[in-house]
Amino acid sequence: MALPSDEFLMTAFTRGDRTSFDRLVSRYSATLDAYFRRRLPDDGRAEELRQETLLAIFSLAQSYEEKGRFRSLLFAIAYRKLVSARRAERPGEPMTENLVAPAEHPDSLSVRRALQELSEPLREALMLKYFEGLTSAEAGEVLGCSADAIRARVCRARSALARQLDETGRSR
Amino acid sequence: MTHDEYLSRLDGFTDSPGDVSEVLLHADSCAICRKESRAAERSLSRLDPGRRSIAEELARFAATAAILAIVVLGMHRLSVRPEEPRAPEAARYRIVGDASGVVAYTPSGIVVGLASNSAEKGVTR
Repeated sequence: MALPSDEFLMTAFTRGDRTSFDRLVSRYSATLDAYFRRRLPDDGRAEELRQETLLAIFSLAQSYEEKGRFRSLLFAIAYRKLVSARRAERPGEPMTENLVAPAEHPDSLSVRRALQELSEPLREALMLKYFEGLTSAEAGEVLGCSADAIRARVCRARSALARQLDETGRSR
Repeated sequence: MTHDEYLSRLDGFTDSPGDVSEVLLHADSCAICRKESRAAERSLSRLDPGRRSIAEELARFAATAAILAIVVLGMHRLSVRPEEPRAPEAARYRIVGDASGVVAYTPSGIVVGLASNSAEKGVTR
């Protein structure tokens, strides 16, 4: 039997079915957790933002209309939470990722650094596509641009990443 | 646009429709970009060990299948014992004779033994 779609569950929730919301939470809790942990150095802050995002979805109960994909809506909210959190922490500074770096292999560290060197729009497009598994259309809805723009950003991000890693390799 | 030209403009591209189509057009036709794309995917997979590229998944699947095949074949060979050489059928003799010799009627023929020499001597079939 096919699982109910996210949109179906969200619509059921807006009609008062609380268990549908619980199912959405169990479906996306770990995904959101990973999303914030990849982008924030502080696990506690990541947990707060995950809860804030789910709360924002909960508060949409009255106003939700099934227009686009639920995943796009979820990550768009998560992205906005992330941007506001960073701006609140470092007002006036340009947005840069502080990617979590647990004890890891030197190669992973160089990849992480290369990723950090990318501009925020390129990095976010690449991460949404690669780590969160969003389609170009979904990532476009999250970041407010077209699917083609996301595809082009991902191409540019890969080239920039390869160039960075190449430079790192030569300087070793 | 060559790959070097593309790289020299990499930081200058924007999300404008013109730039987007230029980047996509180049990426679709450039072998170096395809190579970079695969390399980037491999690099990113180091940050997310849970996620593997298609090539890695295939390699893992092939390795698992090979190990499984070796195990199954090995078990099959162990379960099938090599055929042991058959013990010759016990001969049923009917011996007729006296002290001077014997005549044995066996399934493989008539055996005649002479008592004066050894049992084997003078055996005819």
